[in-house]
Amino acid sequence: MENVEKIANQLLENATMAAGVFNLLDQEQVNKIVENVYKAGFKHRVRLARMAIEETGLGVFEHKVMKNTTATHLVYESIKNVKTVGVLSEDSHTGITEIAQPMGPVFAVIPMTNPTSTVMFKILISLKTRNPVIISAHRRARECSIEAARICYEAALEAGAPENCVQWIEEHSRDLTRACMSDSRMALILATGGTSLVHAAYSSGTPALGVGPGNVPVFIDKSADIPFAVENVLDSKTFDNGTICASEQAIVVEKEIADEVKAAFKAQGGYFLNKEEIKKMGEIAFNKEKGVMTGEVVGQPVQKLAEMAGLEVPEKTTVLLAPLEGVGDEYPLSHEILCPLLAFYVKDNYEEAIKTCIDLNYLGGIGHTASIYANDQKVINDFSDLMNAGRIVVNTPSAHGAVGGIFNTLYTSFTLGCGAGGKNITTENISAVHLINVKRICRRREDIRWFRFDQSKYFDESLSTDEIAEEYNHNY
Amino acid sequence: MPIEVKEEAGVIRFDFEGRMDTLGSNSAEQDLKKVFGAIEEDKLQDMKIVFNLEKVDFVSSSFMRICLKYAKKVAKNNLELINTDLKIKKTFKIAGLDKILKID
Repeated sequence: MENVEKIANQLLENATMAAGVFNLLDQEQVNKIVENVYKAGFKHRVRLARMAIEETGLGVFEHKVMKNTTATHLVYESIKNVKTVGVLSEDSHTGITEIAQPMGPVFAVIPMTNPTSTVMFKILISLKTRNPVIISAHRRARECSIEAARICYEAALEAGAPENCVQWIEEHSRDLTRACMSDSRMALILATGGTSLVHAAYSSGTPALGVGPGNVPVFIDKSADIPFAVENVLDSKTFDNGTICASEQAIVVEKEIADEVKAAFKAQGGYFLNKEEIKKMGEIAFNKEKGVMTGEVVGQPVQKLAEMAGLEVPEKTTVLLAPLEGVGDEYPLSHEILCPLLAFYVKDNYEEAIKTCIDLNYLGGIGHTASIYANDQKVINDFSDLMNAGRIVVNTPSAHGAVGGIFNTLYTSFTLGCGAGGKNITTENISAVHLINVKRICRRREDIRWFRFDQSKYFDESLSTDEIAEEYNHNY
Repeated sequence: MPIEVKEEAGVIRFDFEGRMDTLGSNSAEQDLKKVFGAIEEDKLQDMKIVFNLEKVDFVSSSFMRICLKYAKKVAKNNLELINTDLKIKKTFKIAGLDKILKID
């Protein structure tokens, strides 16, 4: 490959020039660009979905179309009215005026699981905030990602966006990725990918918004509408063959309702594995040395999974369920595995069930997502308090719910922050609002307490904290 | 809009006007090429060049590339942009070009 430094330098030189010009555009101009990009991406949603399936070999075509639809249409709906240029807010009482400032060049890392949708999502939120973006595609989704970027770029230019507001890396290279990430001109990295990628982003010296792995536990409470719960779980878990990191990984129920839940899963195509089948599935789905799921099973349909494990399952099986006794490395299927496979736990009582959920949550998924089906508000509140998750989705499919905007009012996003648990800076769904630096004009608004207080008293050690506080707040 | 060119005390000043978008920049570059084409290479290094942007209200990446290109033809700091609009000055700063050009 041509000298990596030279390529990185050119990309950043182009991007910083674009950033300079972008800074001159007003809200109306920016909105016009974003609208044009969304429309172009939306128009090509089916073709791009087809390209993604053909190139990556994983997922479900119709679901990839829906992902592209979400990434364009729904993301656009969630950001179209957001103010991202000029004065954001003015408060004459506090004297503070907030003004938007772009961050600068954004490096957008694209995962293999949601390539075209993540490209379009990141371009939309970057352009909405006047930040030029450089797309870094996964090597196994290179062509479809670049095609999505090209479509968006042409639409952006057509609407008056600056040249090089969107660029992409032509040939995947770890060295080039590192060079770009650590370039001093790079303002932000949007790191959607595996743990090592996110770690590299945070270690680069450039601010990063990353994601974390999930291991979503689903607690179905006694108060839940069981057929409804199971239907929602299946909708979510089978969506794109389970490639979304926020999809359900384990079902946890109390013994009292276990039979009913099992029957509901079976009625809707669920196949419960026996001990031998669980062992075989564990061998193909989980890499014990690396401690993670194998790449081969990601996004594969049920029949393919069965074939890989040497199992025979009924033709109309929608999902495989693995009844397990415990959580941890001795139970490989208790880990995150992004395919139509669910761990299944039956516990004696509520406390044991919630402890299992906590164990699952902490097995590589802290900060991500947890799911509950219940019609008891106290149960929902208690569960949420105990889970370490950025989003606790209630009575909704976990994958769709976590992405936001469809089943709830979270920002629609393909980059889900996991907070400290995932070594991320936020637990929010990343959107345009996270790509702005907010400047604040701070007008003089004196705190009268400070100015009238006899400050010599701060030097009087004989006065207690309470005495000083009382006088400080006197008549306030 | 054609660029006005003035020479005074060894400094060649180019007065640009209007929007330096892609179209404006292409047109400007034609004028620049004519002037620079008439100067011998070895004399270029010692020349001082000024781009007067007093009447410029917009710059594109194309224009910035032109500034870079001609800055490299002369000795370091011998190309200066003067009378820049405040937002245009900021644009050049964001683009990192203040490390290569002198910007008023």
